Amino acid sequence: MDAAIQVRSLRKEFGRFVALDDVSFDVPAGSLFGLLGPNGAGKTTLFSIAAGFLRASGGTVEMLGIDVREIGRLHGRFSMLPQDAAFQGGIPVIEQLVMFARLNGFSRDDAEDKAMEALELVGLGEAARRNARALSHGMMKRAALCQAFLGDPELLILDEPTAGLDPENARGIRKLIRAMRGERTVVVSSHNLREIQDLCDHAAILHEGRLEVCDSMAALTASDYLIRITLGEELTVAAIADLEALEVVEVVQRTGPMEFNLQLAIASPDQKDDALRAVNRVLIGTHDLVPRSLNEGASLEARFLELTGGTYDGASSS
Amino acid sequence: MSAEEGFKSSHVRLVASYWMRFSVRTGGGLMAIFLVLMSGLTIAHLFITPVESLLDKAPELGHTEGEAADTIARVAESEQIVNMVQWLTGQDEDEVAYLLRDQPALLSVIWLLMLIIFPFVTAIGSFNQTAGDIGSKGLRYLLLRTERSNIYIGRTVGTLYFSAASLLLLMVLVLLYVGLKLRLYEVGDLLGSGAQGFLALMFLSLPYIALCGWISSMFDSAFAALAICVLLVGGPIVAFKMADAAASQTDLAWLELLLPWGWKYDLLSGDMGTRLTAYAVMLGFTALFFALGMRNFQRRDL
Repeated sequence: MDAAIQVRSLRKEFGRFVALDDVSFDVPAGSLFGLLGPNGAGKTTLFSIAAGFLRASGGTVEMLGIDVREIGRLHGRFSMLPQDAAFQGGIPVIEQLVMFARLNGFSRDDAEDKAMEALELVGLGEAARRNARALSHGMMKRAALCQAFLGDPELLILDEPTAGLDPENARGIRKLIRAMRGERTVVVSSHNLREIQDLCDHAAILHEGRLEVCDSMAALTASDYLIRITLGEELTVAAIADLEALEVVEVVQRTGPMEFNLQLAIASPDQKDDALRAVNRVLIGTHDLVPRSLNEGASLEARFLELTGGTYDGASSS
Repeated sequence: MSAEEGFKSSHVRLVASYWMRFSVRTGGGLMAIFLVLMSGLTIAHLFITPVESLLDKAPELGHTEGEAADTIARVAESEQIVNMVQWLTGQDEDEVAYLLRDQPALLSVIWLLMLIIFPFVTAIGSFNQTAGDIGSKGLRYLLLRTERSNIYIGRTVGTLYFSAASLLLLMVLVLLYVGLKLRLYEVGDLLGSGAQGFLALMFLSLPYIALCGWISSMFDSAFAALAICVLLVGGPIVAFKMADAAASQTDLAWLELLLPWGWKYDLLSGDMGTRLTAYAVMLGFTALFFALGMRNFQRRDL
């Protein structure tokens, strides 16, 4: 598969602090790609280098076959939701979007139409004439998304697109992103790992400036020996202790009040059914806890915690 | 990289025009216009008021308007005024005579004083070309759509247009008042002096706009940029003046020629060659500061 983004030996230093260290991976063209990492892992730094905001200390980033040091050749072909960019405070959002659309190459009239279309797309049509300063955090976020959707970019980079949005708007944004699958390449970062798992077909995990893993979502979450279990009631401490006492269970990892991952201590997949029967005996027989769902394979969160040493401090399932 | 992918005049125009509009709407631009008008009109007031008073009292003293105007012209050419202008500008007698006799004297002295304060006014009006937006990451949406060079040039051009418009407004106010109220000079003389004064002040503003653009590109705090701009505009002038005053045996006045400041009075010279040289020097300083600012802006993290 062709790569829409190629990152090679990327390094970024801020004084003595190394924000990115020898990072290399590819983002397949047409994919929905998740970039994950704990706070300070280097995700935003990597995006900022890709967009030309920051200069790399070493290594290269190519987007759509063009080195980002020649970012001018990419204008109009890629767009981005930067995490911390700001609109001009006292100016109506629509005016700023019209300017961005005109810089994208649209005429004044077309730019106004495009800006209004994009605002409607993120549900901000009625706030078009409001000053940016008068917008709430969530509205500002949607306005920022709106500028990313202007034009017809082949490649979109969205840095935490749903952070700060209410559930309904977050769902709307996820729907928009999902609709782009196959039509364009979208790279998304988020602390909502379930969102990334549901949305993306590929992902990479950064930790302390280094790449821990980059693979398809199927490969990242596949495991014969890892079971995700959701209960109808809260998992008790006693139940955890009894599960961990089982010979077939290596680790019980709570991921929510009624959810947990079970790492099985078995030698081959053939032993899995017996192991699950033993687990059910403890849950249902001893503790009266009925599993509502049981999924084989690791959750992305479990994989994330495994790779980052459990330093993840974002919301797991909100 | 091809020229098409780099410099785009349409992008520069867009960045410049939106920069000016946004500046006015967010208050910074209005503040700059206010500062130019307030400082310029205050200087004009210092010289216009006594003349106006003399003209008002002429009938009471039994003088016609023409006689009062002659008196004012004689005062302007008096030894005290000539000596004062010579001391202020360091120019020779011919140059002073040109300013006070061949040109409308009242306007000449107003332009001379404006030349002294204009570098500082310019600094305050142009310190925030990029610094504030670098700090707030406000340039990032632009960077996604156009080259850094287009943003830097656009902001500089926008500041330049803005300065020119503010100065033009000031000039029009002063010329209209002197022309319509005082009626001391012919329209042609007023327009000639106004044009020369406008060009002098604009050419003097250019290197300071470029210098402040360079400083602005170094910082991500508008306040830091303002402080350094004012220090860098005023600091060397004070330092060179002090060095010149301290060196009693040696004339160190030439040190000021290392700054645009040192050439400012030549911008009003009666000798075309001297004036063109001063214009060229201002453009040279502007090119130097602009190139340094652009280089810094191209290379830094934004």
